[in-house]
Amino acid sequence: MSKNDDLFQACLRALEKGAPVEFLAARLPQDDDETRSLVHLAAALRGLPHPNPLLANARARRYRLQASVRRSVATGQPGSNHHRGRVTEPVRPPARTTRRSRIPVIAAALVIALVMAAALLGAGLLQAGLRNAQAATLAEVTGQVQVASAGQTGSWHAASDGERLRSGQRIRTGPGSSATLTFFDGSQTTLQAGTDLILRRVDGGLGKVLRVVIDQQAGKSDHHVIPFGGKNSSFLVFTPSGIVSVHGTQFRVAVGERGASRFAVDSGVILVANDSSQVYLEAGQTIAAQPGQILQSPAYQFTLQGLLTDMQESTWTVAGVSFTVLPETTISGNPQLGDTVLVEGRVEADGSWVADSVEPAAGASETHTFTGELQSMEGQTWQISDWSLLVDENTQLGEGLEVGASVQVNFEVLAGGQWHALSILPLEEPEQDPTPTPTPTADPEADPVLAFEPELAELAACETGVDLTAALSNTASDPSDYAANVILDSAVITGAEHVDLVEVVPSNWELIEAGQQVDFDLHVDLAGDWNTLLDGTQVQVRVFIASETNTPEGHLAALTLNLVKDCQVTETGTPTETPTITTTMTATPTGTLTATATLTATATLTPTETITVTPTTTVTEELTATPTLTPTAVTTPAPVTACTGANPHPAGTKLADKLGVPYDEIMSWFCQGFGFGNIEIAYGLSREFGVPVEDIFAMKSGGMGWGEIRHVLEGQSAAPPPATDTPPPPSATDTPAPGGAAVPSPSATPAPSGGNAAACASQVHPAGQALAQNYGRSYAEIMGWYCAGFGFGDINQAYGLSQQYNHPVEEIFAMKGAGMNWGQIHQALSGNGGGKGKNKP
Amino acid sequence: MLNINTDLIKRAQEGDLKIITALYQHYQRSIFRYLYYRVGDQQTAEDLTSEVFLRMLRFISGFRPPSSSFPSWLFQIARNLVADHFRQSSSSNHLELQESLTMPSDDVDRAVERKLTGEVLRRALDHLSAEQRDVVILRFLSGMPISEVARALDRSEDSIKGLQRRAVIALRKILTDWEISYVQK
Repeated sequence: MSKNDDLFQACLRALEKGAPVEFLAARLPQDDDETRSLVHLAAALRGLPHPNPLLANARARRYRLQASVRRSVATGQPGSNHHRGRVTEPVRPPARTTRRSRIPVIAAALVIALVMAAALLGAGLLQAGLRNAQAATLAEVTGQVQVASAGQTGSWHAASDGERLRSGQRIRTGPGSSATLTFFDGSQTTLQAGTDLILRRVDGGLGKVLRVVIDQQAGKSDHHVIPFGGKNSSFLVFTPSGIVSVHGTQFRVAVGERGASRFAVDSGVILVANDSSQVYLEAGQTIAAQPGQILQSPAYQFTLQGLLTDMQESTWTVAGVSFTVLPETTISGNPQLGDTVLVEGRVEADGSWVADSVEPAAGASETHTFTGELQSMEGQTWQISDWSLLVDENTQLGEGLEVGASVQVNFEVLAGGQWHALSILPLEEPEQDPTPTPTPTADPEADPVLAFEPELAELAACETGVDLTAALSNTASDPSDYAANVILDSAVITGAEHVDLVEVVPSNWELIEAGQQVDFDLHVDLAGDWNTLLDGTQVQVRVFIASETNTPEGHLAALTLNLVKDCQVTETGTPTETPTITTTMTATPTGTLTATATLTATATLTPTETITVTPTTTVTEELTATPTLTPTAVTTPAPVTACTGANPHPAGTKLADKLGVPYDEIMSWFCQGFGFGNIEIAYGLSREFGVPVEDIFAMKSGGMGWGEIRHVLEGQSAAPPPATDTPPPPSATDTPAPGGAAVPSPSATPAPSGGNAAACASQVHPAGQALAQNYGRSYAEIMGWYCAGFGFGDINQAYGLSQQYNHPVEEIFAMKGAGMNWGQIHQALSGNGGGKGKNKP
Repeated sequence: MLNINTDLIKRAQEGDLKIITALYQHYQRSIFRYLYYRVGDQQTAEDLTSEVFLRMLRFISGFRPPSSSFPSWLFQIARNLVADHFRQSSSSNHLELQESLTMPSDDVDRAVERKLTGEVLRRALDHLSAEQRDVVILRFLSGMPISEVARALDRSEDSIKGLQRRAVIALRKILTDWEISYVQK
């Protein structure tokens, strides 16, 4: 063993604790380029995206393993101790053992059946895995498909089936390639060849809420959006020409050169909006949009595929049908006479057909389709949008056709030029939710009382896979109070960015009788970088009863699992029947390294008797908005039960006692996403430097690391104290956002506090700088709000909501100034549905 | 870190469902990644992972203390299965040194410099010795702590310290020869 080996291992340990590689490299001896180089490579290896077993396969493996164990125990095969009869299972009432042991199997089968029933495109959806609201799962990857993180376009990697894409990731397809993204509720987005889009946001929440924001840069995408289960759901597609907002529908988006976009709906309704206009499109309708231009009225659509036989100046003919080509028409592939092309376009009000796009066709077959209004159905010649079609015994006619209906026509062009209808079908109604609902019949007399055991569990998580066995009980005593068709669901309350998957198995039961208890497993897959995060990083997962037939109003019972990254202590929390799986860091003393590795800010890293490595890392905890819970202002204590399953929270109580701060105050920060470790640090800095703790949290939310914050505070404390008696007016440059018609008036805005005024007088406020950088705003704009009396926490909230709901920030400040709390503002914004205009970048 | 002790192993040998499930959950990802980087194919790695745990179940009654050698025993199963796989498929796990490595979608975005990717890494690992390869996969790609890697490879921690450093040096040389950039920006 050499000192170089020890040094390298110390660096690896620091990397595992979250120290940035450059930080480490800078603290190595100047002449030790060798170790520095190895550290860089080690960091690169750790940072690569590594493969994981597919969820479905992992689950199937586990079931097989468990089935094998059960068989072994039952038959006394090697590997079991049949004679002792010891198969450690939770104690259950002796009655109905057989039925209860069948339930998980039935439930598992039901889960699988439900998933399959929700599959719209076959095996790809099943392979896509169970619910994970924080990510979309890739399936049916064909050809060249690549994924990168937004902002890191130099690090594309080949995509694969089963890969999960999270908010901020980008995906693109090469020629002849495609891929499908499946969201947790079954909604799907299929990327055609040559498509490039960014998943700006993908998450969900309690009550099957789905929130998706896609930024489509180029190419074609097909979207099939399941009708929303939660009222706060949204599915938005941004293009250079407009934004699509959908509500349970099937539609297509194409983005061409120069940002020209085309939107077409197959079923349901979408809203297309841009800065100046918005248009609703129904089934069969289409709209073409140009960047910066007012949206035209929706039109019916057509599709032609076949030989290009004529190319006059503005009139082309494909497969025997002529249409108009405009300068705005997107033409790709330099089509020539005789080529087989695909044309998509719209039917104008005057009946003319205008092409939106012409491109080389993938196949050689001829296709003629269009949508329109059925105007007459007499005899053998029907009129559809002023076009005459021959209808005969070979024409497939849909049910319910009547004059005035919108229809889709598939036709052929006969030798004489007449159009012969091959099929005329009514345009589809929006699809019903394909997810089968439980047996609807409720027993009004039954009054089950469901409870989880445990209700709260806290685990120290060192590994990326966490398991908890829990139970759900019907504590009613009357046999008539049975619970029927119980379905469990889960949600990540905090720390969603650290969670890959939450799995509840089984997650539904046909029947839970009074006095009966059923077991289930809760499995959490933490993100691959969990091991690199600081101790104290927290994740909170909640399991709740999504539905139970006999209780339409719902059950309030929930299981809350708090996971804390803490590799120094053994498992704590509510004892469960989970066996001795302790997460214990058994750092073997070597005599030259301490068990805890801490990298000090100033120490040079050399292999001494004691190497201490304390990461002053830039690992931050982002303030994540969870709109399904009551959002709270940074400065307003939130109800302590808003984000925890227990009241009081034991760690919160302990910290409050330690700091001498009200419990509610501690929990308000916790409920906004700050871990207890960070809360303690923030209060420490606040007391050390005499800075309001809200400002400390604002800087942290702005992305600053603790080291940076300390550095800033040290610099501030050396500056002469600002005046506090006479608040000077904001300078001419410290004005709020331009165009802010809704800047709160002084009467509606709290008077500038002494603290705010003093900061307005100072040259630079680090929290203001951090927020300006975080939201891409000018420092003057941020400070304008601050000088008007809004705290940095409020400013952070306002800009966050403005981004989330695409709502002018001035109006949000006005609402806050008018006395609304953040919860009410949130409700108001989510009810608007967004899309009312964009903040200027 | 899973606290493998004699009692835990004993209960697994007795067919304790929860213990066996816990062992599976604890090791399945690292076993899978190890297999993936050895065989280079997701589906094959999945299949072999299944086989590892079925063999674990089948033969755990014959496992003898010390309990600390259990990870070593499990990874030895994985190594044996890899060897069997290559024997049966007659596919070489020694790839020829590739002079040029480009991203699959070279026509989409031609990178000026070659970057370290999972595929490049997998090929580079084939040029390491078996021990060096194992320590790189377990230590850096599966994220296992050094103490657990030591148990998995049946070596002392000091030995692993030296081995990991030598392995990274060897890997660096390969990547340098291939002109692969790995410096993070």
